[in-house]
Amino acid sequence: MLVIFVLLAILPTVNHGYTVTLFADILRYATLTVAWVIFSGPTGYMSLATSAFYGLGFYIAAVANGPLPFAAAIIISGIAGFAIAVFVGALTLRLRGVYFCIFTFALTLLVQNVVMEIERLVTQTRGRFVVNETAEAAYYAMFVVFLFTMVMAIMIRRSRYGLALQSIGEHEEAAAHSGINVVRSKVLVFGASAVPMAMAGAIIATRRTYIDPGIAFNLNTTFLPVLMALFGGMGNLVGPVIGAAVFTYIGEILLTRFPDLYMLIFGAVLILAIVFMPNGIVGLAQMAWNKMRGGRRAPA
Amino acid sequence: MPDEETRETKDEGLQTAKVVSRREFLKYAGIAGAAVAVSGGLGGVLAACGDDEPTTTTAGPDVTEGPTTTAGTGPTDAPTTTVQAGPEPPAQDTIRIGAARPISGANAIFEEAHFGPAYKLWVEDVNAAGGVDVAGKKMPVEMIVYDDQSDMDQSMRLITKLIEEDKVDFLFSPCSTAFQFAAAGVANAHNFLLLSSEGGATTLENEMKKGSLPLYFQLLNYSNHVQMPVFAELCAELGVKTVSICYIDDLHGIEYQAQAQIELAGRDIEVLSNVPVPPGIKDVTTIVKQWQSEAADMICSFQYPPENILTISTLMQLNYNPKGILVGPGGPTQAVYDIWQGAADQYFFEGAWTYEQSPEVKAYYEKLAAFVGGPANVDFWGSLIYKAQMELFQQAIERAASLDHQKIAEVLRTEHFKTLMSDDTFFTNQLLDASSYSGQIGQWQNGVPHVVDPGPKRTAEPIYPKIPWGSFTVS
Repeated sequence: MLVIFVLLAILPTVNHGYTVTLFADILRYATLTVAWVIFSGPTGYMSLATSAFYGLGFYIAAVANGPLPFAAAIIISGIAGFAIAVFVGALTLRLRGVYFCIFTFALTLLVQNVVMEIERLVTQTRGRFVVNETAEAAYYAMFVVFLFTMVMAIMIRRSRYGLALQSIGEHEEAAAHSGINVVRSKVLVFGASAVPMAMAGAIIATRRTYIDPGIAFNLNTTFLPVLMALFGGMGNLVGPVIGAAVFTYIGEILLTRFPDLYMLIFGAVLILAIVFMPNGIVGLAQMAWNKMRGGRRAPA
Repeated sequence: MPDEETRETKDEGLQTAKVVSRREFLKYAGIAGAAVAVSGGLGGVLAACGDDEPTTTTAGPDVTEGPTTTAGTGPTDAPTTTVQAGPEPPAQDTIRIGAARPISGANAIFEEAHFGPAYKLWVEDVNAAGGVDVAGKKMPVEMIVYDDQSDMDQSMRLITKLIEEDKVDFLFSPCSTAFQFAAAGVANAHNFLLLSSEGGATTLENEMKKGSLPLYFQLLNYSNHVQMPVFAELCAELGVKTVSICYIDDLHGIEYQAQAQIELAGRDIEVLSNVPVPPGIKDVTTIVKQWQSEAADMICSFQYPPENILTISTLMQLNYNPKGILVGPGGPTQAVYDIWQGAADQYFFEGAWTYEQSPEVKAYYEKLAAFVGGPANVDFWGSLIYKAQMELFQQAIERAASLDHQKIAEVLRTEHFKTLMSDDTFFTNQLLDASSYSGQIGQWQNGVPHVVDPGPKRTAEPIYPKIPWGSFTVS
C-alpha cells in the first residue's frame, strides 16, 4: 500500500502527460466513493447528496480561487460542506430509508436551484469563470485530499462513532436503547463525509475554466460513486478505491476504443457485477482467496 | 505545433513554455546554415553583377518562416538583395485533428445536424482535393473523434487526452457555450488554437479582453453580437411599440433578455413583461394568457427548441395572434418550422442566412441537406457559420504555411478572408466581425427563410404584422 502511495506521489515528476489527468480523475472518484462509504456504508442510509456538496465546492472555488490561495479555497470548501451537511443533517437525519434517500436527492436539486436563483437575481448571468490551476497542482491537491479522506475514514471506523454507525446500521432502535446518541452520530459523520466531497469539487473546478449549475451539480457525481462502491465492495475501504479506479479506467478504455459498444458493454459489466459479485471485486477476491486457502489445507 | 515537450505552466495568460530539443536545434541550425550559404552565394553573384535591381524576395507566402539573409549591403551603393527561403513544410504527412463531440447524450443533435456535418463535409472535400496545402505540401486530414456523452467531465478529460496522449495537431471545439468556454481554457493552457461556433455569450468577451484566451476565436453571433441591436433596429423600422418577453432560465436566456431590454429601451420600445421559464417546462398557458392580456406588438421567445415549440403551439391553441414573434434556438431550423406544416409562417428567428443569397450558398445548402438526410435538418442560424469556420481554418493554415498555432492565430487576428458567407470575413478582437455575417434576424416567408436585417443584407422585406396562424400551409 505504501508503495502505491509513493508511486502516486511521484507520478507528476515522471509523467507530464495525460496520465496525470487520468489519475487525478481516478483519485477524485476514489475520494468521492470513500467519502460516500464513510456514512452510507455502515449505516445503510443511501445518501444521494454527493453532487450537492461537490457542486458547492465548485462554486466556492469559482469565487475564492484567485482572490485567495488555491489551498484556502479548498479548505473553505471543506468547511462549507461540513457546515451545510451538519445543518441539513440535523434537520433531516431523523428520516430513514427511502425518505432519507429522496430527501438527499432533493437536496442536490435544492442547492442547484438556490445557486441558479442567486445568479439570476444577483449576478444576472449564468455560470462563472474559474481561475485555472495546472494539471500537476490539481493532481497533488487531489492526492492530498484523497489521503486525508482515507485517514479520516480509518479513524472514524476505529472510533466510537464508527462502532455507533455499525450499530445504527444493524438495528437503529437497539443502538438508541443501548445509549448511543443516534442523531448526533449520524449528523457528525454525515458532515465529515461532506468535507472531502466539497474539497474535490473545489479542486476539479480549477480545471474547468467555466462552470454553471448544470455542470457543478451534475447528477452523475451523485450516482457514480454509489455504483463504484457497489462495484468495488463496501466491506472495507480498499473496495471503494478499487471500484473507483477500475470503473474509471474501464470507462475510459471503452469510451475511447469501443465507442459504439460503450454503453452495451458497460451495462453488461454492471449487471454481471451486481449479480455475481454482490460484495464487489474485493468480496470476490476474498472469496477466491478463502477457497484457495481452503483448497490447500484440505489435502494436508 | 505542440509536441511532447510542451509543458503546461500556470499564469494569467495560461501561456505555455516550449523547449527546443537538441535534435530540433541541430535541424534548424542545419537549415539556417544551408540557407545562409545559398543566399550568401546568390547575393554575392547579384552584387557582383551590379544591376540596379529592386529588392527581390524568393518564395511564396507573405508569412516569413525560416532563415532570411540580406546580402550585398555595405558602404557602396550596391542594391540590396534579400533572399528569403520558403517556409519549410512539416515533416509529417497528415494533419491529425481531434474532437470530443456529443455523439450521445442531450447535445447529440448538434453532432448530427449542426457543426458535425460541417466538419465531416470539410474533411471529405479537403481529402478529395489531396489535403490542406501547407508550404506546398498537400496534407490529408485524419480525424480522431471521441464521444463526450454531452458530459463536461468527459469532454474536458477527452480533450486533454487528445492533446497530451494522442498528440493531435489541432482541436475542434466541443458543443454548447459552457463546454466551449471550458475547452478554451484547456486549449489555451496547451497553446492550442480553438475556433468555436456552436455557442457564444457576452460573458466570454470580458475574458478575451483580459487576454487570458489568446488562441480562442468566437464565430457564432449572439445577443449583443449583434442580434439584439439589429432586432431593436428592425422593431423600430416596423413601428413596434411594445414587447413581451419570456426567456429560458440559463445563460442563453438571461443574456438575451438583458440585451433585448437594453436595445429596445434605446429605441423607446416598452417591454411589458419579462418572464423566466425553467428548462423543460411543460405548460406555458399562463404566460400566453398574460401576453393576451398585454397585447404587445411583438413577442420574444428566448428559449430552446422544445420550449419554443411548446410556446408556438400554445399560441395557436389559444388562438392568440401577436403581430410578430421572434423565436430563439430551433426557430431557424426547417424541422421546427415544418412541425406546423407552414401554419406558423412569418415568425422571426435568430440567425440568419438563406439559400437565396447566392448560387454558391444554394449549392452548399443542397449538398448539406443531402448529407444530413434532407432539408429538415438544416439550421439557418449556424450552418453557414460552421462552413465559414472550416474555410477560415484551412485558409489560415495555408497562409501561415505552417502548423504552428501561434502563427495561424496571428493570421486569423490580422488578415481578411473570402468565405461562402462573406467576401470579407475577418475577426475583430477574436470575435467574428459583425459585418462578416449573412444576417442576424430572419423570417420564414412562404416556407423560405429570409434575412430581414435593416440594410443591404436583407433578402426580403419583413412582413409585419404577420398573417394569422394557419393562413398559410405547406402542401
